[in-house]
Amino acid sequence: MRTREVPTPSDTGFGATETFRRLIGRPGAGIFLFLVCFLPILSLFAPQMLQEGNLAGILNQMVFILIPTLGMTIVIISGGIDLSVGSVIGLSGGVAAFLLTVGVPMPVAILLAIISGAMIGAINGLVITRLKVPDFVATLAMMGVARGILYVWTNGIPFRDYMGDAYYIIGGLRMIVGKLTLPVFVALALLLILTFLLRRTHLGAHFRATGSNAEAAKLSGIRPDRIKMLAYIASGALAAVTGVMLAGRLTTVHPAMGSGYELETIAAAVMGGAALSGGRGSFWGALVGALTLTVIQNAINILNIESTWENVIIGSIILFAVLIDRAAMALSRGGSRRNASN
Amino acid sequence: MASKINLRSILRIEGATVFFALALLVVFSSIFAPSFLTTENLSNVLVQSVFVVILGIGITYVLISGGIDLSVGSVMGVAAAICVFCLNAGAPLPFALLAGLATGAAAGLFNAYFIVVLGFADFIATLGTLSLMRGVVELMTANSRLNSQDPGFMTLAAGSVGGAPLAVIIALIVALVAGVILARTTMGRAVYGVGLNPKSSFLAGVLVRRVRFSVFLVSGICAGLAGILLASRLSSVHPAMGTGYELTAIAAAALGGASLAGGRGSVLGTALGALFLAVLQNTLSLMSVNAFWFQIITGVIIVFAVLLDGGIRRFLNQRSMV
Amino acid sequence: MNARSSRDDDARPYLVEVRNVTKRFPGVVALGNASLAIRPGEVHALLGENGAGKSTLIKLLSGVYKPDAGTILVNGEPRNISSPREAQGLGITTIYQEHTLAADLSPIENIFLGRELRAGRSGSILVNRSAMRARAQELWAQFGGDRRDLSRPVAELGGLKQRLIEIIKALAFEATLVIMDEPTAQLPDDERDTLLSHIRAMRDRGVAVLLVTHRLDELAGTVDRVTVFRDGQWIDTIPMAETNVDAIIRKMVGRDVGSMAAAAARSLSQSLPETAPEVLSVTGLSRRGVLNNVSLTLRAGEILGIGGLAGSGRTELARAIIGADPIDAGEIWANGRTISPASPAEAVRAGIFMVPEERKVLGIVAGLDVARNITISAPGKIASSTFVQRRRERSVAANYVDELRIKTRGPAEHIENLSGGNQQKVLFARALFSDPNIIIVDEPTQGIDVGAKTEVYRLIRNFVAKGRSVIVISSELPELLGLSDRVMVMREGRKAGELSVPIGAAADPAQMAEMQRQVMALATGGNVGK
Repeated sequence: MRTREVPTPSDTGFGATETFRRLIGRPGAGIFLFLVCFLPILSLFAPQMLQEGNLAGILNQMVFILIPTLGMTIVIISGGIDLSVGSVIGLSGGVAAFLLTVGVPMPVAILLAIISGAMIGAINGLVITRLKVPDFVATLAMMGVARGILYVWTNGIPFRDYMGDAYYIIGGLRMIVGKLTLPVFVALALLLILTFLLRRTHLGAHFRATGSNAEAAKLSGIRPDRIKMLAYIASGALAAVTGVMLAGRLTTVHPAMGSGYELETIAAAVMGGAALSGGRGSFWGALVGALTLTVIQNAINILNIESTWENVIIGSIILFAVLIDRAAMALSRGGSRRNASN
Repeated sequence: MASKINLRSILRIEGATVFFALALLVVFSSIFAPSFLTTENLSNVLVQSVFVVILGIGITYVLISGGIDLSVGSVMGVAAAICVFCLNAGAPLPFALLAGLATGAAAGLFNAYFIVVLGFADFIATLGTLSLMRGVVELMTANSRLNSQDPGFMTLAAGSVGGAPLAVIIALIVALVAGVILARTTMGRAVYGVGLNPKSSFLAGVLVRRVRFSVFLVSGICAGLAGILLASRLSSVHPAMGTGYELTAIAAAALGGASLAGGRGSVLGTALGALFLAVLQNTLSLMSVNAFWFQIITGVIIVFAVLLDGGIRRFLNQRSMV
Repeated sequence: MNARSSRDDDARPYLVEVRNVTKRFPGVVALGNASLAIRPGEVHALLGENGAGKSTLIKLLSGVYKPDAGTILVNGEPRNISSPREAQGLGITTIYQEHTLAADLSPIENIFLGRELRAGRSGSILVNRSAMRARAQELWAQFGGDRRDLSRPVAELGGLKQRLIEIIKALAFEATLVIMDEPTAQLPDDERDTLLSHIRAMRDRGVAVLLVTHRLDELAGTVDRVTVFRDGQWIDTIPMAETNVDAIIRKMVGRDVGSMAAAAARSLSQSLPETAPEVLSVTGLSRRGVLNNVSLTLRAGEILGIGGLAGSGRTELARAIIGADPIDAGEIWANGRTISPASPAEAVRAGIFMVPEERKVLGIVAGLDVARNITISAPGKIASSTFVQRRRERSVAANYVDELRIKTRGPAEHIENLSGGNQQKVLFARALFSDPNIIIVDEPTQGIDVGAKTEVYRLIRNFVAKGRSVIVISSELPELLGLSDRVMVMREGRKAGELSVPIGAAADPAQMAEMQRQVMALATGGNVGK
């Protein structure tokens, strides 16, 4: 690991610079600044970018990445990684669609779909904590298993004909307040609830302690295994919420639905400053990360760039985003004098 | 010479576990899928396994060094696309093949640059490359299909030398060279040290950065070669070519005893792991099991492989503690 | 056998008493019939070589292990301590050697981790952040800490502050006994003194401290009573006022090894290499913020000691010389030519090898066997035409195992199964294998027992006896002065001064004391008002 020594200007104490350093050192701050600068420049080329309708569109689209990213952030903070997110989105969407087609009342169908996601998360958690299989491997395996189940179950034929009026709203195909759709408010509610839970209960510290130093957490009387279970269950449930809504948005559940979401959510979480080594990350950062990804996708659409460029651009942005966050961290560290604890 | 063969000394041999698993599977397949043991099918399985074997070998280098390379599936696609593109542009076959390999190498160096020089987490850097390279494949195949009926090119996957499929021979050579380099050269052994403890390896005089650079280069070249062979077999390159292969390759390596934490793994183990997955897939299709089951079973097997490996290591350590 | 020694005439009841406790592990008896008694509000040192059973005893007291036989009494009542939580409930808190703080969390979060203060009624799921902040600030103020430190991630605080936070974590829950496992192991001397003074202050507030340490020089003045263990057995419990360090060492090792300085010292027959040629010369070495214009010379057959507080640039100087860190300015001349190593690999080629500090993190490669841990420094020497010869490797390693008296079942044993002292010897073998004529050893005896220390000194002596040279970096002054021909002291990235150690000085306690004072004076800027 390279430690870049930033020259330490005489300690300025608690001036404006120090406050700035604190702010820019927060996870995701670098990306946020990038986004703030990037949007106006983009809008020069595509004035419609900043129009109300488009901004609402960005929000409506963004929440589908944001919600699973919230779960991914919890998992990453507690020192894990969840590669099964995309498959859970597909499978839980399938569960909801199937139950609706066989006449199960919608609230029950949705609840069961979310429970199915939480259960997959619980299985991930059990395999990781009880069987001591590395997070990466366990969830990679679950990614294959859950996706495989969906394929075997549907025999490759998408679920259709489950859309009712209410489901159009749930899927965000109808606007409910202004140009905003229900998923936006679901995401907002989840963001607020989760932020509250992590900041005002012991959970936040316990997630971070587990990811930062599981041994220390254990000696403090925390059961890191339980915390990890909780993180994976949360991630599974949040992915399932996304799956239920995505089933509404797409109106059919193709067995490949949700593929690739694991990478997008990891990208969003990391762009938002979550450290894959655990212990660091925030929902605020997750929001910024998801927003950045969506704005880029949106810009590609608006600028009429061939959609084949999307992957190239997203890949470059992931690499670029990390560079920016790194630079921001270095800038903030410069002031707070890294201690030479080797 | 009372050479007592005991279970422990056998289990200590690299790849022993996966070898037994493979043997069991072959017995199972021969019994329940009667057409399994035909020459035609066996040669088919071998050719089918070649891509994951080669890809997995590259990944094994990276895993042992303590890293991860998620980009190999996309790199496969790009290398194949470049190779076929050159062929279609009229380039001679050797040049096209070299161009494909060079593409793989370049992608590996690209990863290495971000990881070693800029200090990115491997996971993120190769994730970025995965997306980037996939995009390049999509761009290259967007407006024109990349087909090649070049007879020389087709021979790579379809030809045979003295009855043995050429692709399998290529894979064997790659495995042999890669295996010997890893196990018997100072460079290969340094890879293990770097994976186990990069800091102390560095202070002990190991050129850690060079090692990390090399493993991604190896992974890129392997991905390039696997891509070229796959394109030869399919005689075309489609936009999604290679998608998901990174996971199968990682599964093969994990089956073969490679640790995702670094420091453990072997070329032989990975090759056997890849073979196991190929035999499994083949058996399922012979038994007319829904092909989608393969994904489920692969997932379960990955977990099981890790558990078994852990169990065996505990078993071996128990003895050595007393 | 009872921990109440005949010299023990205090009639107060014991706070915690361990009676005839036995603990076995497969194949080993870690503790056999061991006893220990701690009084309320005393600083009690638990001493013994590695493997004496100290760690096992600590883990029994803190509820990590359960005894196979014997009883543990807390306030006179037999207790069954089955979890760390339960131990804490009884007022026993343990601060382990490995840092037990979560680096990404703030001190406040760490202090209350797992025991957050609740808002409102006790069953509430909400935490009371302001109450926790207030309590933490109150305790932190007692230790003279800056309240701003409390909201930064622990990772940004230094070693001393991290230790103090751990102590506060214990105190926040009304601990009556705080067990500290080598709390000063990684602290520089000035910070160690501060920590010890805080420990004394805790005692004065009525908290008992059980101190486990390898640094015997910190006993006097801080510790009230000492208990010595050897081979899992209680040996003696003595008031510190009635004994001295040398007597304690004799009890620990069961034999007379003399003082550390004498153990490290060269024999009178070894003369200073007055006319020996220079083998290393460093001029004007600078690295922004770390090293400032440092120069040194080293002659053949010489041991140069580098002293100074941790963080004074000692390790950084060594790392710069071997190319582990980049330098901004300066010149390094070694073995007849100017070198500018860009990596330790180049330094190895130039004949310089460093045995680093923090053996487990920077030294051994856990997961590799002893042989490969040795040959990693010069793999080319066991290879012929690019292929590694395993047989040659094994025989090379076997030779080192014999020569350096490394206790292992063989070159194929994984290095993590060896004791600290033997691991250190393997690292020394690694250095020797690269065939250097200069070895830099950084804290060569950190965390290893007294017997292994003398072995390491012997290895260093043997190396220079062949006309080669060593640079020793050490925080233990008796060791530094005992080993070195010359000692250079660093302060704040600069060379603060240099003194030569006359032959025979190590045998003279008065001279040693004076030299230690001089080194401390240089290291701290002359403010040791002794």
